[in-house]
Amino acid sequence: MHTEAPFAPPAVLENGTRPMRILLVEDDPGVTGFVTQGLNEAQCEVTVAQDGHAGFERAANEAYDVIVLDLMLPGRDGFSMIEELRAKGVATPIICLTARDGVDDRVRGLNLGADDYLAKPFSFAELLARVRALGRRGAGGTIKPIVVGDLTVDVLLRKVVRGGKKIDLSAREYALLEYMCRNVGQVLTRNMILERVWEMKQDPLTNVVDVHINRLRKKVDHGFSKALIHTIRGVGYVIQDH
Amino acid sequence: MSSRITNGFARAPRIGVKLTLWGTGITLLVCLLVCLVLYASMAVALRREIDVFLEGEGDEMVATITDRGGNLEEIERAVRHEFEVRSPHDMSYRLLDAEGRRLISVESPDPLPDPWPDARAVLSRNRRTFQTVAPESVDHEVRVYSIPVRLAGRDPWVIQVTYKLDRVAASLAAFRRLSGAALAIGAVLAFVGGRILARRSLRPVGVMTEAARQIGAGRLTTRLERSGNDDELDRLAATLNEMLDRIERQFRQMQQFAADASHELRTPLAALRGNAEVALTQTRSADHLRAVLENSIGHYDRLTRIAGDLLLLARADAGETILRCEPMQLNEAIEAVVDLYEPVAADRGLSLEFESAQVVSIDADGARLRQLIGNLIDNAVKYTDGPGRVFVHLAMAEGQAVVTVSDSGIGISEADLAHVFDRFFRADRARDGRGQGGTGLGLAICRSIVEAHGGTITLDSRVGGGTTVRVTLPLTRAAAAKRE
Repeated sequence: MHTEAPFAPPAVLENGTRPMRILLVEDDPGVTGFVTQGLNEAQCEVTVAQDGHAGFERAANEAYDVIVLDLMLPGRDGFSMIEELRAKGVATPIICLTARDGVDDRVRGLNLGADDYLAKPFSFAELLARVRALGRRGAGGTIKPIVVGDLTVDVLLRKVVRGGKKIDLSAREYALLEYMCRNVGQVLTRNMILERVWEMKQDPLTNVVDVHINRLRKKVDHGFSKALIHTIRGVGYVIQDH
Repeated sequence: MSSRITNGFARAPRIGVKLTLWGTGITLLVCLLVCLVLYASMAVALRREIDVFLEGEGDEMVATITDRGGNLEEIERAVRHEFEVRSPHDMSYRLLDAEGRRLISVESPDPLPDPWPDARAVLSRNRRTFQTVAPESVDHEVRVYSIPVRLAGRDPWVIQVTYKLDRVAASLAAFRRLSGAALAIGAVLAFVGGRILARRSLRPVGVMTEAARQIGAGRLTTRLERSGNDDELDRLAATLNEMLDRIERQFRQMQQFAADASHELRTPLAALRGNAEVALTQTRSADHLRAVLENSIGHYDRLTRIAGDLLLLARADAGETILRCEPMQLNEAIEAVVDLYEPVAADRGLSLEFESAQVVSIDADGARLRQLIGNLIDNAVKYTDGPGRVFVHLAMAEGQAVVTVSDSGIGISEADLAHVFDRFFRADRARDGRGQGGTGLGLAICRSIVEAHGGTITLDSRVGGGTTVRVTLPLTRAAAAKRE
């Protein structure tokens, strides 16, 4: 996944990491405009393909960290593209975009090998958070204890210790904390949290997620000098040590 | 109006013409059958009468011959005398020998062949015989009655009595002509009568067609006029009127829905446009512009939510499958949602509890089911002030899973209760405006989800006495399929 394309020498970011390379397959200029701008500003390299054939050529022959794929494209449809890419052994994570919020579309895309799904209209922050989460997915499956500052989450024993002090969490609170810790430094939107922890695929009707985060904060951050759980205004939450 | 109806008939006079032709055809057929039967029975009766008469004459002649002891001269004299006295029309009397040769023939000229070819046959069979022959010398048929006679000591003879059939034939021919004429006149009368009858009986149909056409043009309040005599057309008018009632009702609902949807969509759009316009009228600080943009995202979200909800409802209305059902435990799904809302409820000073006596498994779309339960709990929490209680209960009854969500909240007035499942209906708009902006489609979507699962949803409420929503869901897919 991290092999560089031979013809594009990698730029190096200030913090020494390589920028994410993203292929955006989308024909609508209104969408490609803001997505490209937003991703560029988030230090990603974006390549745009405006129809299915061009998109498939690039996805099959060039190296990307994440593919953002509109399902309704001129040329060929997104479903067949996912299927053929996976059949060819291209494992690049794919996020589907669609204007139809149909159950069938969602399930069909995921069954064919897509990794995530967003219905139009989507919030850019949501897309960015998901792109980043997918781009860093390699770290997601660890069974080693996760350490964030002085917080340690033992994912095998489901034990949480901060500053040498054991923290008691309910099952759901633990699931929420573990999900955040597996994505350290990664902003998670309310929808992502709702999907992962409560398996609810819909916009939160009330501020349910915020209330849960606040409860978690009381146990994890309360009484410690430094807060680890941070609110990113208008986007969601992140756990990190700085 | 009537002229237009006549035009209508001139354009497509199908039923009327068909009715007329069928009527005429059937009438003619019946008349023809009657004529045939009458003709046949008349012909038979006439023949029969002649035969009976011939038998009588034959008997008399046998008696004459027997009385005269076989003396030919006397016999001829007696027969001729008798013939002259009675002078019967159309008759002849003959006596033939065994070879069929004429011995006596009263009435001349006698057109029958001499010798008579069948004499020997009559004698050998020794039976009286009726025959109808058509002699070449005359233009009519003749009925011949032959009687074998054997007198002691003489050769056998054959007595023949004949009757000319020309007048009978003339009678029958006259009957045929008369029948033909009657049939022709009957056909014309039947056609004209049928045409008038068809026009008369179809005229109300034309009137109804015209009336219905005008209603279709957009005046949905108009109804067809009823004749009130409860005939087929009156009942048809009644049925059409009932259909129009339903169409009008649905049309009004659709108009109301379109108006509501338009209002719900225009309000955030107006806010978006207004905020942007006002922000652009003067040079604003970056912070001010940021606040305007952040505010606009809230409105976009609201529009997105409404669009998503409307799409879901439209797909459910169109009968599209909105579900992907899998066997699942209802308890777990409800627990997850209750767990999600518990802190929110607690913040409002409410206790949110879930109770179930048993594990209930159903076939359902997990995501939609959680959305359903979430909507119901969200409503309950939103419309209940603390301190209070929201109680979720799961049980099985009559092969159904029964979920009840009850709260100790403000309740719903009886007038509003009838509308809670209507799209965009809100019992308390002011209150809802304070919250996070529901779309007014929540319960409508709940009902769509429940009905797509083959279940039912009912709502019971009293002002100040809390609200209870009761959802039933079939336990197995087979049961759900049966309900569909």
